[in-house]
Amino acid sequence: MTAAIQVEQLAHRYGQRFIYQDLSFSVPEGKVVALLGKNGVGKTTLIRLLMGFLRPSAGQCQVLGEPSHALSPRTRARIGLLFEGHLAYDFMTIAQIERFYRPFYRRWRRELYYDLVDRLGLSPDHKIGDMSCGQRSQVVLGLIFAQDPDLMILDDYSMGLDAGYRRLFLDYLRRFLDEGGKTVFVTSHVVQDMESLVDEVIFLQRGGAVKQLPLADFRRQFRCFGFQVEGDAPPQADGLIENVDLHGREPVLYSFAAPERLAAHLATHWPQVRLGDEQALTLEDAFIGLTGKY
Amino acid sequence: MLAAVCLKEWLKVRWVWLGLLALHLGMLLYLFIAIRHQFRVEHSEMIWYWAFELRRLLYEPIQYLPLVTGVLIAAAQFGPEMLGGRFRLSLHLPLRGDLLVWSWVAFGALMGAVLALLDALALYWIIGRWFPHEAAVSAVRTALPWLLGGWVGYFGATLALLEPAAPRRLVYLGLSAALLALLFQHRGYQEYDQVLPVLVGIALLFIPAVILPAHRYRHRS
Amino acid sequence: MTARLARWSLLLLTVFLLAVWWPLLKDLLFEYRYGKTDLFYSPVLERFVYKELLGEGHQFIYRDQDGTDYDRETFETLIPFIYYKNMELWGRLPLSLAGRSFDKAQIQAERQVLELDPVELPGHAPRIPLFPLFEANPGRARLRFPEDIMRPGERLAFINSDANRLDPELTRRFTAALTEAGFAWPVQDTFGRVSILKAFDAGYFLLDHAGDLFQLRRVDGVPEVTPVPLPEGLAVRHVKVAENKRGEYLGLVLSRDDRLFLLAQDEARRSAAGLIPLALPGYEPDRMALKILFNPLYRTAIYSDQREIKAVAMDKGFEPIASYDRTMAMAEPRLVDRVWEALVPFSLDLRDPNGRYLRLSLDVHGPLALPGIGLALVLAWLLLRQRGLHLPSMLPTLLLVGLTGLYGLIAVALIPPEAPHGAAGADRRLGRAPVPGAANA
Repeated sequence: MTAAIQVEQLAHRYGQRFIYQDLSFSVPEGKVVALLGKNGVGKTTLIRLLMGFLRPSAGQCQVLGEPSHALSPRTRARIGLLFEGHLAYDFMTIAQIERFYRPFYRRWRRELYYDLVDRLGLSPDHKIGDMSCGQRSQVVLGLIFAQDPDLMILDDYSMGLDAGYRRLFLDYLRRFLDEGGKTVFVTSHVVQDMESLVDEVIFLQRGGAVKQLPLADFRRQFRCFGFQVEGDAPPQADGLIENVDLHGREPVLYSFAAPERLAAHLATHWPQVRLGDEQALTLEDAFIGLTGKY
Repeated sequence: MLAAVCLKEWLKVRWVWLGLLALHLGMLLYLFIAIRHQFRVEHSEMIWYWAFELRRLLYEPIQYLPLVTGVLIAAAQFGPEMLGGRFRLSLHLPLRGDLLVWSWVAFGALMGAVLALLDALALYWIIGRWFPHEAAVSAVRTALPWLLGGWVGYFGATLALLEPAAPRRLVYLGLSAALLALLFQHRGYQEYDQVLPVLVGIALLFIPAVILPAHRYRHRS
Repeated sequence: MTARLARWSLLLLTVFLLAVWWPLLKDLLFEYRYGKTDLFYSPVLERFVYKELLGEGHQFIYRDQDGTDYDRETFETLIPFIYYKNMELWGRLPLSLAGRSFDKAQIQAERQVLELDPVELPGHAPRIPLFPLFEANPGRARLRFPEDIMRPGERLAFINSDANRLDPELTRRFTAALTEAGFAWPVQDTFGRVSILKAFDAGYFLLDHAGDLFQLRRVDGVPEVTPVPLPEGLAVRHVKVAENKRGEYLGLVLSRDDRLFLLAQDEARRSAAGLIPLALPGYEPDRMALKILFNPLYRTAIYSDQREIKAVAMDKGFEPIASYDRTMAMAEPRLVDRVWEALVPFSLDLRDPNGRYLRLSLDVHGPLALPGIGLALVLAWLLLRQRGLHLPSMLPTLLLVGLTGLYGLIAVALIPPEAPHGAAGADRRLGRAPVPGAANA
């Protein structure tokens, strides 16, 4: 399977401060991949690099086979970008913005735009600048759909949206993806939404470490257990134990290992720890479990 | 695509442009009334003497009008692009970035040119109303560097607005101000007749130059 | 590619603007307060004397052509026709010179100054070609502006200023008068002095298509045309009309080959009466200001550019009796000028001291500027190296700095080269091998 996005040994720095030095991952064609990470790990920088508005300090960042900072117009036509905050030309009306974008895209699908926008019940002369954030998100999504891109890069689509519009956004997006053949690279603060949307997740951690795996694998393999400690030396993350959380009512630890292997590991390395029951995890719990609360 | 580019630019500048049109008409009307008033309170032959021999420019009130126009059109065009980083929307369009920026400035320059043409024609008509046509032609030729000032103001403001780095913005503003100052050195009529082609040539350097801030915006590191 | 073109456009723009504005700034900071030398022919010494400002404050010297210095008062007594009012104050009138005696009235009657500045010449200043033809016999003390203006062309049209409309009757009458006098249409050039602050009106001198000169006056509303007799082969370039109270000479006529003539006057009719040639070696009317001083004994022509001043003293028959020239103190280069010339390779001058037109004249400093260029090159090299450029990629920029010196250096510092394209250049700085395909941006 070819990759829609291919990042190899990517390094980026602001001044002398490196955000990442050796970042590699790929987004396979036809997949929906979410980039998850806590604040400050460089998600925005990565999105900017992929969108071509930053030049990497070193390494390679290819999007649809071209360096992301030097995409040809033909390739740009195949990429739909959703900018943070649903950026759009505020001074245009619903009808004007469609008229503006249409001539740029050969595969323009006007009906998809109006299908979405008509549901807002607004006049075609309604100015985008006068819309709510949710209404604007529909317009922007409609424009991306009409563009009929092969790859969509959606930067924090949930920003500013209430639960209803967020759900609407996802519903329409999923329906559009059902047509098949689309690749999506998405970031969001609302981890829970990813559950029904994405095929794979990429966890970006501070210093540029990445963990990429199918969402189903993550949900199946990543487990949480309560535990008790004899004495005052709780276990610590050690490779097999991904994370230990002592902030809750009951201390818990997280691991990708099966219970038996984890028990054996604890017996060898942390004999003072007595493993409790496995606890059910939402995706958000799992995300926090992997990346930590701080 | 060009129609789409023009549509967007028109939507951005239309109110400012219409406002400027009103301003130009207002200033030209003022000029008309002021000169009419002069001819009512003074002897016509004396005013002709001031104009021809003492080289007094009765139409000086409009000298900065093109400059203001250029700056405001640029602000109307590129202010909204820079707000919230909307320039990124444009740069992602499937069109070569340099062609896109050139089509923008072509549109803006054209909008300015329409007002410049209005000024030139109105100036010819107003001066020609009270002076022989030699004086009307002379007035238009004298006003040419002021019209060029509109061009410089437009491109100077465009460079400064599109530029992502603040210190470089100051450089562009400084260069534009230095060139502008060369266009307002007159002490009488038609003194730029000989040097104007050189200054026009220098001002044309802005056309290629305007690509640099857009390039820097896209290729920031 | 277009980004590179864009940067180079801005570099050229910057160099141009620096080359115009820096010299102006230099002149503002290191102002030049020395004026031109005042040169005279002393009827007392029968030698040239001059006054010159040498330095700060009032460091004037008063000297004769042999180098003898005088105090101010003595100097003024050497040119008593100039300072005749001081002579009167000091009780030295009447003067006794060359065996003759001159009182105040005599001196006043014979004094006249004719001047011709380059800025007055045709083509040195823009001019709307419309001329008020004064009534030469206004019947009152002062001239007054007519309500019509003359437009020389295929005919002599008159436009009424109140109506801003052609006056057909006046146009017909004046055109006919000129035609009758043998005027070959159209009018090639028109010379005259537009002022009501003059002793009388001599009208205009019109050069016809055949190169003949005619004086046109309006006397009691009627055209009066006087053909001006010109020496064989003289092509008139300019006529300076002086309309002085002292009526012997009406002004000056300059030929296309830079010969200068006095325009004699028929005093009774205020009309031109022939030309008197003046022998002025080295006179270049396009860049030299000329003055002709008349006194009861001599006529002195003094002409100078920004460096040299020349003078010819003549007797009353305009036969040269002495001449002198010297380089003025103001032409001596100052330290700041020397430093300036070493610092920048050229400057662009917007103002023309000999005309009203703005223009850009290039003043190249030549080999003198090598130190500045060398310094600029070293600094540019350091600047570019610091930005990660290697010698081959620096060469175009260094060439610019080599040609434009400090101007180019400043331009490059303000608008430095963009970081090398693609990640490849960045890799070099990070000490990594470039990733294939990442550099072809």
